Amino acid sequence: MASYLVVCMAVLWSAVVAGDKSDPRAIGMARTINGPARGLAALGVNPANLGMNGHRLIGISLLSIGFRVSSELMSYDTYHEFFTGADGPNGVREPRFLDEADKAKLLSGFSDGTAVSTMDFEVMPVGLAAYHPEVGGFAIAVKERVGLRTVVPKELLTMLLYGLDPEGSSFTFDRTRISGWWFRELNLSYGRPVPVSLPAEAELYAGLGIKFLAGYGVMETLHYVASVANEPTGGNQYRGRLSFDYRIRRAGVEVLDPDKGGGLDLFPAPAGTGFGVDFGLAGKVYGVDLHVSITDIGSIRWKRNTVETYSRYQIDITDPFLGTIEDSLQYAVRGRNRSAGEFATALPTKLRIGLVVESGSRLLPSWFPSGILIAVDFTQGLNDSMGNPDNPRVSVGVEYSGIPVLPIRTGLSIGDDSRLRWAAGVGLELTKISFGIATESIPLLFDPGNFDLYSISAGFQFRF
Amino acid sequence: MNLRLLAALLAIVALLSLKCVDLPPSPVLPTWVTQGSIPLVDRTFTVADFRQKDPSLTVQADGGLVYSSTQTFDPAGIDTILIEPIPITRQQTLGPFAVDVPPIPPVVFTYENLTGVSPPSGSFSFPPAVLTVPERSIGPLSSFEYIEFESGTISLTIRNTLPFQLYFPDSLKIQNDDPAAAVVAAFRVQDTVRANGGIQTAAASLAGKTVLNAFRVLQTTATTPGGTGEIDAGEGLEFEIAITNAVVRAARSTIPPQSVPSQTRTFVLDDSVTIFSARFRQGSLRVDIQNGINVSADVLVRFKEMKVKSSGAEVAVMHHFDGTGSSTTQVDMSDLEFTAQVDSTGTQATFEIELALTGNSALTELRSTDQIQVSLSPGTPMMIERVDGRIPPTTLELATGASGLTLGEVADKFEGEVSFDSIEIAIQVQSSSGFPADYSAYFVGIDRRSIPAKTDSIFIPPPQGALLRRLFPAAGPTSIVLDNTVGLNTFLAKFFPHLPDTFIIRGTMTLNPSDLYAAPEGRQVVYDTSKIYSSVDVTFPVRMGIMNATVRDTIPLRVREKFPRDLAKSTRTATLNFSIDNGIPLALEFRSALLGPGPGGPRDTLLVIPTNGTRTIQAGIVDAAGAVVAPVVSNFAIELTGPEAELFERGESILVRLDVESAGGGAVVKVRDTDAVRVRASGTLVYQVNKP
Repeated sequence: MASYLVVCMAVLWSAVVAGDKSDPRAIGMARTINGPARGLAALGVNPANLGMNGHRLIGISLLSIGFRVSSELMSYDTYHEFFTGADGPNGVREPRFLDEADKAKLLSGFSDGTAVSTMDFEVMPVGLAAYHPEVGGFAIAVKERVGLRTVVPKELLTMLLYGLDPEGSSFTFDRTRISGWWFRELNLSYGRPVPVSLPAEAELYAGLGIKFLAGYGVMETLHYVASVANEPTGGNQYRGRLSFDYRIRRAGVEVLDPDKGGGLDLFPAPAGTGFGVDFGLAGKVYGVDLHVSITDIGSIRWKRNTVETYSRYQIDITDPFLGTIEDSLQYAVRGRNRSAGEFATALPTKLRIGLVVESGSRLLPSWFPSGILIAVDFTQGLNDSMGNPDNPRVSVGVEYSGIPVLPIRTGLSIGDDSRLRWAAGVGLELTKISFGIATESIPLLFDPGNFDLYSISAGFQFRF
Repeated sequence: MNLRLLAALLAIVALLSLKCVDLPPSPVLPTWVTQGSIPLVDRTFTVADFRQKDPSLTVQADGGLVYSSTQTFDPAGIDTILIEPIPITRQQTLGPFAVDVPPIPPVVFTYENLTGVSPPSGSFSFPPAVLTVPERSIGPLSSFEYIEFESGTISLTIRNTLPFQLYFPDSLKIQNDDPAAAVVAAFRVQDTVRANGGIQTAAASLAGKTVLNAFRVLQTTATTPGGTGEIDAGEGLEFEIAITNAVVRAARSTIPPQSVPSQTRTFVLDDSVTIFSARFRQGSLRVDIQNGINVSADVLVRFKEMKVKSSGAEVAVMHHFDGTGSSTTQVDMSDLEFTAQVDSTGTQATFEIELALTGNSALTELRSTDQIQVSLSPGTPMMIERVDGRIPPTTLELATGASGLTLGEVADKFEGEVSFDSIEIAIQVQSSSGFPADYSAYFVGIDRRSIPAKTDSIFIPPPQGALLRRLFPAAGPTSIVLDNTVGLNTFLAKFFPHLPDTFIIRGTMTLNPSDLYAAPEGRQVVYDTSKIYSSVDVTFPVRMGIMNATVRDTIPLRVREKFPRDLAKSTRTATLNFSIDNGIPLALEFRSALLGPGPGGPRDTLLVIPTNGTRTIQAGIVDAAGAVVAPVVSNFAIELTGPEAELFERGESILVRLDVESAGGGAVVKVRDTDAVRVRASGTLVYQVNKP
């Protein structure tokens, strides 16, 4: 079955890794991880959690990989249906003809006028976490963070599918965005109990993480306003109206630029350097865990190969084949390049607030079953850098560990995109190693054709 | 149900429900139908745009256009002006000349020679007596052998130192010492020669006499009445002979330096060209000198009217002869200029022959009839650089050409009837020679672009306002106008829609015609670089009537793959909407055809566009003068179905045909700089993206 991408491999390779986008436990609970994360899982989420009990004395992670890709443009089924062709008379796949219903179906994915596509890829080649009840928790890890985020306006696809109407039409592409990043961080985090006088059964923890950053590539859309229209002017004549006003800047190491001798190089000289901080607090009171953190405070300053592509063009066109117009159109769409000089890119700073209630908490009634953990996260991006969403995200996650080696998890989230995401996952917790499988889109597991989000994480964590 | 059991079941069901995802086939872009209604063209073409690309078109004050073109003929050269001197030979004789006459030693007779005895010592008395004076020879003298005198005088002086007087009753004679013994001179001394130093002289003419270098004083007698005195041994008679004022006819003698009077001679430099002044470009004059005078001499031939350009010095040829001989000199005329001293038909020049004998110390035999001879003859052809004078009537062949006119690409693609409102061709002629000229020539037009080539000609009329076909270049350029009075419309009609691509003026031109040769106009300045310059100006206002005219053009579709063939394949329907504001006074009817390989051949008509008839673009509204006063808007559409559009995939070219007619059904209209046509076009294309 060579033509099969086996989801089961995701199971085999899933492991506990750091970060809310790649930890199967976090994903199974709809990325509700601020409260439940412990040890290396807390790295980059809430360093205060390192000081809390609940994880082994020493944890070592080797070559943990997290990969997450999602697209609102289309689901897998949509792709399969429309973009893989149809059987032709000679067994050759021929283009599928899109009728009006097909066009409407394709456009239905743009529920709020845009389709966001994201890809996150994180690799933690090695990580180490240690804990002592009196000293607190310490973790160190190297992480490679690669991501891409595009926002495609619905009107772009509408124009491609329906064209310019004889009665006149107008399309705006103002919300178009593209951003990408690749940087490497060395994260040193420490969390411990705060030695203050607290009421009985109350605990307070604080944590701090610092990050030394080496940037290898970035692209960000600073500004994008564009529109295309045709307007009848009488006598069956038309006036074309074009407006392009955008600025996209980028920087990167030479390996990203084939014109500069690009090639595989795992340790290229960085194009930018930076420093970041994670800060967190965690507390227990009245049987409820409260976690607050701000992560990725800082920036990367890019110095090498900085380029800004810009366009500022607005014109009414009645004769597009004039030489000057042709030239202008090319520059309007393709833009012109100029040196961007040094510039800084903020890290995707987030405010994370989480609540956790577990079975046995005084807040819960006595009949509440044991082995259940309920968590709620509120995450708000504090900037729009590196794919950081500007809308708040709220998620609720539940983990049931009635069978300790086989915890099941589920969760709901809203805010990452226009959809309500239902997540679920199953873990396999052995003594020295843990596995897990999770997805933020239930259809991936039970109806693989109908999903528009795919996430997978893999790795090993040895616990002592 | 037990919660743990439920959880376990859920976990197991979840694991068992896992499905695999088919690895999707390779992506294949779908196909769909879209459309586009977009502007294609909105351009205003003014006549000024067209005019600015063609320097032949200019604008009049009222905005009307004038086509004017000037084509220059190859200059016709006067060619070389040659003069040819008439060969002459002139002699100059030596004439009577001078020779060196040496002093003749005195002849002494002592007392003893006369008496035969020695004189007594002391004083004594000498009785009357008759004494014999003996014969005495003189010479030979060394400076000559003989001299034949033209004129001259020989004198005899007698000195008596004796103490008694003497008287010579007979003539004293001098005789050449040769067998002929001709008496050269006979002296008759009438008076007594007194004693003690008395002197008597007598002279005789030498004219016609020949004197040898050795001669004798013949014996004679002398009488004395006697006297007393003392006589020394050396005392006696002394004869002294001298030759004076000698002019020699012939001699064998030493020759002293002497000049011979010069002589002026004339020769004809050219018998056809009357030159007042001239500068020579090249050539030479041969000067031959033959010296028949056997003596060292300098011969100078001086040309009085010729001077060196650079210095103004007279031109002379000099040669030194050591005796008889000859010399030849080629006088390089390129350095010279000529200024005549008289105004006469033909050109006469003068030269002087100067002879200077430089003397001979050896004996030389000369005769006054000896002569030198100077011959002048042409060397290499003598070419004039500039001449001020009168040239004889000179006929030149005219066969000069100029490139013709072009109306651009229109000429290659246009056929029809065109009538010009007014047109004229002016031939401008100018000559730097200054000489009036009569012409008899044809103005020939040739169009080699037509097959077969077309040609026609017009006999060139007299200049405006003149009766004779005569040019007076000194008065400035002459304009010869060809217009409809000489049949220009007919001439040009044979070529249209082309204009002649070559003009030729063919015929003759006679410089300085005979009736003007002697007139003041017949004297001009001409250079050998003088040319006849001519050009032809074609001028006509762009006012024309066009009827039944057609412009055809073929637009290739495969040039540089400009035509997107995928577009043809994928087009379902295409509509091109035109809106044309026509502000020029021409109506156009449009049709075209898509050509390509088909059953009828490689250029078969695949499709006629538009398929449902022609499309008309109305002419602008014109006033009585034929000028546009308001544009006319013509809207039309050209529609193609998908199958029709698909034919473009095979199309090789589009043949476009425009039927052209001036406003008012072919009336004469006026095209102005501000006339314009605005062409707007939009396209509505229904297109299948990624059509398989």
